[in-house]
Amino acid sequence: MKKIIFAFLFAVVFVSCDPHYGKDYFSPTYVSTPLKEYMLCISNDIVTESLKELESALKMDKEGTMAKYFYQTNESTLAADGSVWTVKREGTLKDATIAKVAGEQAWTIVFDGEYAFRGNKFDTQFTLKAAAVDPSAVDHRDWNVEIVGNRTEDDGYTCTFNHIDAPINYRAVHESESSWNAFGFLEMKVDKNGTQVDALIMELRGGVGSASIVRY
Amino acid sequence: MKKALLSAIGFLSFLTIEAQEQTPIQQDLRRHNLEITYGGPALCYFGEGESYNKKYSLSGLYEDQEYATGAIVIGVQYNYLLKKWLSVGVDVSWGLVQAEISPGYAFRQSAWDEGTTLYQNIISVMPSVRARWLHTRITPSWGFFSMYSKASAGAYLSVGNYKSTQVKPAWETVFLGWTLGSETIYAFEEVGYGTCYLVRLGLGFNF
Repeated sequence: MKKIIFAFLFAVVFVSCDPHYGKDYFSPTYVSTPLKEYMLCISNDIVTESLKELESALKMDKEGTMAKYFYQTNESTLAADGSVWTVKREGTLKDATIAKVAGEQAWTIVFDGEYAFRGNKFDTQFTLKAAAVDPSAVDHRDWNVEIVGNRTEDDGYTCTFNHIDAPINYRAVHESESSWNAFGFLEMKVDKNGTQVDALIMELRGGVGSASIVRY
Repeated sequence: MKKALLSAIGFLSFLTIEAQEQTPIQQDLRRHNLEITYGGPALCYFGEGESYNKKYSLSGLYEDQEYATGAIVIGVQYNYLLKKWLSVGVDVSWGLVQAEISPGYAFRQSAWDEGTTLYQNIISVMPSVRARWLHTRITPSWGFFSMYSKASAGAYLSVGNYKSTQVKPAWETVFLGWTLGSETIYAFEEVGYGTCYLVRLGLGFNF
């Protein structure tokens, strides 16, 4: 019995003392967790909230009843070219506009206001284009997302972020009405008082938090 | 403050020694027990200005020098049964706080290697008093379920490359602890607040 107890204690101490425990040295330009978590606020929070808002608007538009209470609708169905809806309800994306892209099964969401990353609210602007992968899909669907935006924080820090070349593919998790797995690349550049201090690229590989990040 | 702490430690240690002279109160409760514990986080470090939310701001990422990444605590506790509902004991634990150089800071300052692991060992010794307020059999013939609360006070030694070596008071209050098992071996879990952990679980042996 004593041997088992000591073996258990030894195993716990051994795992805890391993300095590489829990790390992922996949690249010489390895960037550790906090910057990754910050960038995930863009790919998960901003994009996911926008897609939820878009799907909510499309659903209400289809059902034709509640939309006027939640959106300023310019009297046009969201499926029609030229329609622009503004989010009226309180929430993270209040006053964002959702506009139909002419000739495509796609919508553009434009936001300019304070947006919180885990409680840290700062001025954020972004333009997000979401194109339906399968136009015939209903309600919760897959999207190709193009995003360009920036964020102005305290102490002279700003960042810009954008997709790189190809859109980021957001695949709907159908067990959950508000989840997607993201695949693609996101770039972020950080400035302090107008001088660039960092440049990063994140590869999104699917599930929540599944991503690699490198500095270039 | 120091006098009060030393007096408390002295009193609890006295109780532990004094208790050796007593006889067990209840047939189904063994007099001694030894517990192996695993829990965390070591709040004595996370409480010193470490802001979780600052990680999600650029100034936090590029100005702060380091951030704590984890703090596990393992330990051994001995208890001696004074009465059916009251035990005294000593809790000895070892905690490891790990921290990393903030990636943005390292990059901006070119000072330290990004991701460099800093560590701090925390070794604490705390005499404790445990009040068991529920003790019942699971089935008529086998197993016990107990619930208790506990208070501990002592000191911890902190040594490593993260912060300077120091000795500070340590304390822990367990609001709710429960055990489940047989007369000789049981599992337990504790939820509390103090220097060393919020949640702790482990195995206990009665003898």
